[in-house]
Amino acid sequence: MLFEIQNIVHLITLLKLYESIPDEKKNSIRVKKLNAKKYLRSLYSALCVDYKKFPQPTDWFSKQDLSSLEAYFQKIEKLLTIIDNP
Amino acid sequence: MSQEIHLILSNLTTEDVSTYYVLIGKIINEDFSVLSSKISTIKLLIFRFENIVLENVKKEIEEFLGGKVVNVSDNRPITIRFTANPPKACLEINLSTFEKLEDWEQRLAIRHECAHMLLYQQSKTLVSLLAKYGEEKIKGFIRFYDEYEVHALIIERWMDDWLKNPLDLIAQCQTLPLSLPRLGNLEAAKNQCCLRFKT
Repeated sequence: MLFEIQNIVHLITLLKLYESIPDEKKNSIRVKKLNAKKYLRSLYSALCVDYKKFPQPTDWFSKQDLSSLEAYFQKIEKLLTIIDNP
Repeated sequence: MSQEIHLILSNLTTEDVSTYYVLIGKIINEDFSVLSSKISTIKLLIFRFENIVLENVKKEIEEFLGGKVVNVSDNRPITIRFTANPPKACLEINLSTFEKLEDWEQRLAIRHECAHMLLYQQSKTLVSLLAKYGEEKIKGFIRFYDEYEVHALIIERWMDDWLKNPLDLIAQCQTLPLSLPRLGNLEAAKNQCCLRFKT
């Protein structure tokens, strides 16, 4: 289970990085972004088969949550709590 | 103040490694000048994997890093080992693979590892999570956040280089079946892509 959540977390951060690229340069990562989004959707669907309480990945982290290690791990703790209380 | 970098030689001479020693010193002191106030000492191990005698250097590095076990990688061109209290770092360059990289890739790889040193921080929540779940369960989350921060910094400062080789799912991940009805399938896929993502 952790594997799926970790991969989802990584994909979310990957997409945040892609979003930080200026529009005029985004074309070079367009395909990578589409693949990441597709893979994220699949992982999330698989996760929801057993764990219906997980919010949509778009709600896992705000930009602010990724601005500090402390805020990030507070969110990770919440995600881990969902696994502990399915 | 310039950063002191202590060179560790294994199976190469000072002459063999001087180009890389100079390059790393230049990048650390020009692009990461703040590091000298953050990292007390940096050791730099430059070696060739094929004939390294690890025992010759292992003890020195392990003592330097407070007992962390050192096993050099056969294929990673560059690795950083890092310890806190006081913050110290050992940068390892495996010339067997590193010298095959293009100039911009070498610089980008060094900058990436320097960014790890620069961005290192601690978190109370992390400490409590480690106590509750154990390092094995948490280390993936630590790694992904570290990588996120490092790549964000690289994008901010060297975007054009980053775009030549942006962080991506590894090829195997892209070929994984995208319709995964049960989590069990993901478990099976795990072994196919245990490294999962290129960093």
